[in-house]
Amino acid sequence: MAQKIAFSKNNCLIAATDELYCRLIESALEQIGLSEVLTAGGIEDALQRTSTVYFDVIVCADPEMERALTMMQRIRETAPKSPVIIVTSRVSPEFLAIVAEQGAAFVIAMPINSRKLLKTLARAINEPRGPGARPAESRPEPRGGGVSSAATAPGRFDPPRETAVARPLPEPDQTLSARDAKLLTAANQISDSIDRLKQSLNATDDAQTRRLLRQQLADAAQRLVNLLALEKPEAGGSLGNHLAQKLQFVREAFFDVIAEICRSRVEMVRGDLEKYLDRKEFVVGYVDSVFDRLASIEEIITVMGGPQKLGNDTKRSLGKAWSDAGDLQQNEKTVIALTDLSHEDSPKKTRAAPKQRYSYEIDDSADSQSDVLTAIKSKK
Amino acid sequence: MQMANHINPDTGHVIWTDNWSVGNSILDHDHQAFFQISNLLVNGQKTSDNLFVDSAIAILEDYVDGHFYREEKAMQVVCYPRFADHRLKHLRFKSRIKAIGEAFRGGIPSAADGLPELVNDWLINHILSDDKQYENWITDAVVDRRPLAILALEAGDS
Repeated sequence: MAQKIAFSKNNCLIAATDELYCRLIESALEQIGLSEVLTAGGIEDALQRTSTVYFDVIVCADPEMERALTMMQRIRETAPKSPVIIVTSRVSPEFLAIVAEQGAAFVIAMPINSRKLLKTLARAINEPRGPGARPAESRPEPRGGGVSSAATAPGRFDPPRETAVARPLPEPDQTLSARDAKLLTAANQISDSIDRLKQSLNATDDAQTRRLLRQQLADAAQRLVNLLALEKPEAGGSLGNHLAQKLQFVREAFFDVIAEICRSRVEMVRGDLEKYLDRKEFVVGYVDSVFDRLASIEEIITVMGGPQKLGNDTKRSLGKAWSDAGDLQQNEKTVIALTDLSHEDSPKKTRAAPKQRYSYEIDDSADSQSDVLTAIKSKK
Repeated sequence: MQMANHINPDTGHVIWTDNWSVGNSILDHDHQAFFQISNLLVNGQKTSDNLFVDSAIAILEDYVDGHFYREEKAMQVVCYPRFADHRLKHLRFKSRIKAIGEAFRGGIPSAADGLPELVNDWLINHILSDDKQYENWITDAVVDRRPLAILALEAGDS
């Protein structure tokens, strides 16, 4: 019998009524190196297993979204703390919002592959989410025999909300006019939808769904812009009244989301550039696409009001990305020139690349404890 | 001939035999994973679930990437003399699988009709003609033991 490779100590339960789906996911998960992959052929089987054993992650798989959701809701009764990944045929933004509220950590839309499963599994185990989620290192002791009572009923999906901590909501003003009350209600709705969209963006890697979510984020931004146009700040630009404070709060929440989008795009560009620079090779024309990506990131920064809205880490990464892209462009020009010499062709003209719009000088004052640590490490 | 003896006539599934062992349990486990996926493809194609078949093809592609990467790394470590020829065969098979996958996803479901047979025929022939030849070269110490999915990720990045 060939040796099974167990690469991690984590275990997993696959709950799926469709046997083929169950075996497909089981096959893929076995090649990810989990110590144990168990299967449950239906809800009752899953409930029985989860009542006696803690699973580091549970996969609820069904081609129909509603059935997968029902399965998850029931499993939550006996496994309130295990991260749950839903695998289903189609994922809509509305479905994402519902499953997030019901306690799923992640959603994967079919078709699946090993890489997608691996990445999602790693995130589910390492990034605590969902009601009562606990970090991977504090996994409870396996339960012995007997049925355990449900620790908690399924609760709201409640990820850390940075804005709630950094910028507490202003106290409601009892003297709001009817107009201002309506605007305030609208501002609250936009704020809630931005939070939900942010949660949903973090819950799925499905490209099509993320595109839809980004579109909805853009719609929310447009509604915010319209709302801000209705609210005229007092002379001199001071934000004295409650409604203006609320709108400012919502605007900051929106900027948090797009700053996060900006940060993740910068990291992707940096990662790609490092691969090419490490390998000391390139694809002709690749650097043009890098410049285009960096330029589009800077358009986002312009919407935000400039690089001062970025954290120091992001500024540093973006500055480095421009610099690396410049190096890559220089390498490309050198090789093209050498190629032209050897073929006696006329010099190729590369199109003018987008120029770096901003300077990313680092503000020496630390924005956070992590910035302090980063600064200390860089000085060693 | 080898194939006919190791196919379950009722299910159409390949049945592993120890004759196909290459002397390394990790590599044998990879080969078994291939057969497992091709067996699932046989079942999946009987339904009309294209998402399932698409997923099975995608997982097969990952297994191909990961396993060939594992084998080639080991061969390079021991300076296996037939490495270039062996790698060429890997590349050709990989291209065929990729082409079938692209055709399937491009709207031609019938492109995957003969895929399980292709995988089984090719793999059994490859194990017996090519992999068996490295049996005395590759030891446990030179084989990357990490899971197939992780090697597939790494193979994609390299």
